[in-house]
Amino acid sequence: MKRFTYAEPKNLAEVVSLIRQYGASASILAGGTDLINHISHGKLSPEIVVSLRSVAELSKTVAENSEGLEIGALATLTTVAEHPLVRQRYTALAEAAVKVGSKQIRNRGTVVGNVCNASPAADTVTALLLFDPVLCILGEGGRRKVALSEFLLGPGQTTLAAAELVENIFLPTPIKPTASTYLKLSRREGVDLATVGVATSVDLSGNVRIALGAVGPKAFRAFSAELQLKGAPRDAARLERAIRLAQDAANPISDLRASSEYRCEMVGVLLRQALQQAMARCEREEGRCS
Amino acid sequence: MQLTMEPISITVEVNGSAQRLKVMPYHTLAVVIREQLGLLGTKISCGEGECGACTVILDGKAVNSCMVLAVEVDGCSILTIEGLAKNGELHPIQTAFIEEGAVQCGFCTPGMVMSTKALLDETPEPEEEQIREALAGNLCRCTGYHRIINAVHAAARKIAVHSDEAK
Repeated sequence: MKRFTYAEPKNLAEVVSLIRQYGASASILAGGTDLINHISHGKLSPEIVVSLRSVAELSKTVAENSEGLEIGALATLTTVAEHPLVRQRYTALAEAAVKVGSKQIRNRGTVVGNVCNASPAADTVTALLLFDPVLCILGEGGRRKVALSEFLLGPGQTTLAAAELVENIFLPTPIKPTASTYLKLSRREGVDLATVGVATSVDLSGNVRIALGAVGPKAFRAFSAELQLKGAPRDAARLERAIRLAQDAANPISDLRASSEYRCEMVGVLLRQALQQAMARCEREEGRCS
Repeated sequence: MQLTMEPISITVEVNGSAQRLKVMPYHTLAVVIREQLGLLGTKISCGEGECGACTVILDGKAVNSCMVLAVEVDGCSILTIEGLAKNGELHPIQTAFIEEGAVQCGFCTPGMVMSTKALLDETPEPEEEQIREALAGNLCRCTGYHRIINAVHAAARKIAVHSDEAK
């Protein structure tokens, strides 16, 4: 592995000053499950690796407040997947987090890191898009808040500047009780990237949300398909139109995992299943939903 | 803050005993376990978190030691395959792997055993689905998966009997 120095700052001010000093030749280390590979494959060759593990202000947990849920920069995929409130209120996110990599990777890798890595196939990104996520970003000029959909630019590309880091991701409490689901199609069940990822949610009033992953340069919401189903998620004719709209919105590449055509077909198959699951969950939990 | 390409001092508990080590900032935990501590049971195979041969237990959680920097484990506790046997007696998981014929070439075995240990510590009576999920990040190229899963079931039974006897 290429040589680098290592720093373990104790607070955010030190982190910001280090990444300002070193700019693009500094890499931030959270879980390391992407970063260490990028360095050993030569994709990144930082002069300095800045570990966040001892930064007092950064959280390893998921915290609830009156407005919603905050996922700390150091909360692992395992922590998020197992959190009772995530499982109950943001079910699709728990289902997505547990489908990333292997147990060993989920025990180290973080949700914030998964987001910053900006893979078009990132399971948690697709699921998060259902819940209006807002990133809190710290830089030398202070803090800024940005919606996840605006944060992502394309494969591996985000609006994060060299001297910035993501402190947390905030998920507002859904206005109405919502049931959600995340379905991942991959070549095998464990330790594979998504060939197609579909997240859907349905709320008390029949509002539907649909997010698609691995079928474009970044995961995205299929708004026109959502609109088609609004207030009538069980209408068969509308469902067929919504599926066609979702497929039209997808613009997948062909790669070693699947062809573009296959991915488009599977958007339809997965969306149908995901909607059925989300609606069944909605019905089962009558107290909360429908 | 002082930056250095010099070795960094860390203190880490390895298999129950405290160790003071000087590690290079760019060395992974797997490299330090094998080359500095001389504990060769932990294997390095893919070196990118796909195969699980380097699995160790870090503060109670199974991790790929090839994707953890050694400097990051300062103040932590690590369990490697060498830490399982006590007083010359194999751990029940190791015995179960032998009895069920779950060891073929043996290269994946330390990682499989450590993932099993982490699973059974958290979930003493796992369902088959939970076993498959816990071992999904451990590849066996002899493809002895059925026997490995049988061994995990058998290990869970052995540990239950042991703890009953201890009561």
